Amino acid sequence: MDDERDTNDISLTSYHTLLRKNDDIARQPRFSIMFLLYLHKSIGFTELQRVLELTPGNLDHHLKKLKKMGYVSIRKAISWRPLTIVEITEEGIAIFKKYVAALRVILQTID
Amino acid sequence: MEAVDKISETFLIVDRYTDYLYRKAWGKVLTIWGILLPLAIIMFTFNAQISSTLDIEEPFLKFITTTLTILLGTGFTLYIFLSVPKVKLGTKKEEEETSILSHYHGVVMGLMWFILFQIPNYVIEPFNIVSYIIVSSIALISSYVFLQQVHGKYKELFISGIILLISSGPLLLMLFLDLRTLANIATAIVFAYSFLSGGLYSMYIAGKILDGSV
Repeated sequence: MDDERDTNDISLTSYHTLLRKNDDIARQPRFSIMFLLYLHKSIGFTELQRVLELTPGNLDHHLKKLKKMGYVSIRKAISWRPLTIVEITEEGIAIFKKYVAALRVILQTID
Repeated sequence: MEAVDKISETFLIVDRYTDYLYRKAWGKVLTIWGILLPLAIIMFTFNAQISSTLDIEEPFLKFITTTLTILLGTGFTLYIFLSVPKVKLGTKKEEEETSILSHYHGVVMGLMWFILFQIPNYVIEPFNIVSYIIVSSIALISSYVFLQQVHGKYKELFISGIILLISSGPLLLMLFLDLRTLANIATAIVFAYSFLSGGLYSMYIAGKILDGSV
């Protein structure tokens, strides 16, 4: 019984460590940005800004942080008007999956 | 608890974005049909003149017009709706999530539109073109009622349907007065006006949803 608790404690500790390590995506609105991009793969800058109710400068700041970590990429596209497209990277998908799994485990410990 | 707040806030944002995409999809679909249907009607009305100019047979031009309209319209409609990811998180009522209708509403509505649009094929000339107005209005109003049960209010569908239904009376009167060409041109204008205004309104509402003001 004690052994089982120890094992659980060890895994919980590792999940806590994972959450702390990824503190950058844990904060709002970065968590929402990552979640939206995880579900939709790519979203226009303006749409993202409007749905998150952020100013362009504020969103740009958060995207630069996420880009620096390699979780998102930003590209320009030519449509009937110039568009800035924000996309999630493979690395971003992987880290977000891990992060959500860790969050789920931590939340399950709440009775 | 901070994590729970963060997740529920994100769920609301994700649901709002999905609603925006779905509403925008309806706007695009209405706009496409608002261009394709009037064009097809114009082609039918001036079928004789166009076929002699292009030196092709009249039935062949009719066949090409019908096939292209159906293929382009259905193709775009399917492409647009299938591009909207079916992401709906925990912010809706439980019964809405578990309803079979809410899962298959796209298929049910697609079938309804398909069956209704078969009816004008059995309507005799010159009433067949105006009959498209009547079946479209029935399809739009039925879609409004249906979507209200599973997805929310799509007022633009009801407004477009009512415009078509009201217009069908004077258009039928024109046909009884033997004003066939005029009735067909008026039908094309009514179609364009009704579908395009519905489409534009849908896109306007989509923008409001995105901004969180609806």
